[in-house]
Amino acid sequence: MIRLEHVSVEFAADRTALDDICLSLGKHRFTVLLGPSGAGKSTMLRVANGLVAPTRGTVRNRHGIPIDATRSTLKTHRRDTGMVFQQHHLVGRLSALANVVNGRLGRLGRIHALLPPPQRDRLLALAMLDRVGLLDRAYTPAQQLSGGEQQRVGIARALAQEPSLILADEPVASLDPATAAQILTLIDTLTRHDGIRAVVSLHQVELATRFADWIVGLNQGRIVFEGPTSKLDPAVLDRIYQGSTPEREQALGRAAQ
Amino acid sequence: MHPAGQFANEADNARYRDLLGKERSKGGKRLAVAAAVLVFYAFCIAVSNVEPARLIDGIPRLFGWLARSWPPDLTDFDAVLRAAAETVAIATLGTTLGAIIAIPLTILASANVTPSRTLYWPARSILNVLRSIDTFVFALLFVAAVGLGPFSGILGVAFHVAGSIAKLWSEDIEAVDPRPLEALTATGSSRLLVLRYGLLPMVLPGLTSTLLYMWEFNIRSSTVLGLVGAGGIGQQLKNAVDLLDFPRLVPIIAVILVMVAICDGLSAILRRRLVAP
Repeated sequence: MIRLEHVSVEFAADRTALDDICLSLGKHRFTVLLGPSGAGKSTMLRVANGLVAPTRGTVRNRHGIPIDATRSTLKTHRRDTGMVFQQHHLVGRLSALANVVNGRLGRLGRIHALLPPPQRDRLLALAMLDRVGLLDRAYTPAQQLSGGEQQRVGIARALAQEPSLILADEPVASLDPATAAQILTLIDTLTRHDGIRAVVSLHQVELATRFADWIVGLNQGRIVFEGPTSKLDPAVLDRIYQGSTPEREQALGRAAQ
Repeated sequence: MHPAGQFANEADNARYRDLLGKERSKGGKRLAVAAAVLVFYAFCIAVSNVEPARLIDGIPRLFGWLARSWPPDLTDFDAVLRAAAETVAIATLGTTLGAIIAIPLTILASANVTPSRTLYWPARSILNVLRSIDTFVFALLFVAAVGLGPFSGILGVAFHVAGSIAKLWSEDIEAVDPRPLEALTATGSSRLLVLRYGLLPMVLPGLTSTLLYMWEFNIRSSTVLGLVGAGGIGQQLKNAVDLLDFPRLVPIIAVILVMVAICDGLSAILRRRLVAP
């Protein structure tokens, strides 16, 4: 579990991405961060993994220690928190397998800058590729895979970290609807059978209501809703999508269906 | 809707004319740039004693030599081939040594990799100094310091090309997509392993291609190193020209052409394979 305490992030004096956020991530099986683009979803996930340092406030790990207390607490925290990105962020020239092995780097010593990764890490990576259904693509360069396959490699890389929590930043935003549902179903399965918790940022209400058991609504860097999916009603959606006309109409239209 | 040339009321039209006037002022700037370029050319022509008449006088002499160069003198042809092999060796060993010198410079001079912000600018300055001193000038210095022969040529090539390689390599590295590196950082990996497993696979084909290009470039520049006594086929070239021995000059030039063509072709084929996905 990750605790954000009064976390604010300002990229410039007039550009506040997060505004005094107090929130626990990973309390629930499948949390969705819901909000229009620019609401601060990506920044929140980045702050939670220490990729962005908060301007004010503290991020604590499950032992209550600030994640950036020392270099080693930060590394341990990142190792325990798998990340999945919208654009997959794979090394395109490397095979699917090599990309998944990269999920093990947090556990390898510096000597592996010269030596290849150990056999057991490669075996574990293959098992993770098998888990996401891509064992037969292990030696295909990542850049030759389809968008959905690349995202499954991204998930396998996060799984290879053996994390207790996966943070996924708009993991389906660049995929077609059918593939998007497949990817979220995969994450759903992992949360049910592997004891991993997931925090997934989305901007589509129908996907959020279909998969989430807990929803955090963000608007302009503030939490405007937090509660179980069943409490998500048109009034709440109105608050979440306030000020973003097209997305709001879409969200309300879908909720009415 | 509007009569030609009149689209809005007079006040708006005045504002539009004002805007057009602002664009025209750009024309004045262009004129100034053109004038400056012309002045620079005039300066260059004046200081370099350009006299086309002398070229016209010289042309018959060149043709006279061409006529006297036939039949080519092949008596010492294996010495020419040995000298050509020496040129290839100078370029190859010089480029390799240059690359070895370039590795630490590249690491320090790539903003996204450098372990020390304070050493970034000194490293950039060193590589710029190395780059601005030509191979030929370095070879001249090394001939004076370590004596005549191909070893001076190797050192000359190495020091100049180290600067060029480090410059091109660091530009390749700085242009790399940072997102996969961020993803690896997010796994809790140490910086060294992020660079080894993320950056290196992304940039290696490009860096190798650059290296091959510099090798091919050095084959060409090494053909003249013999003029300062730094070994290779240039020495043969100089001897033949000094003695006005044109029948010997022709095979030397032919060997240079063939050698450069083979190395350029080889490098082009290898580089195309590297950058192909």
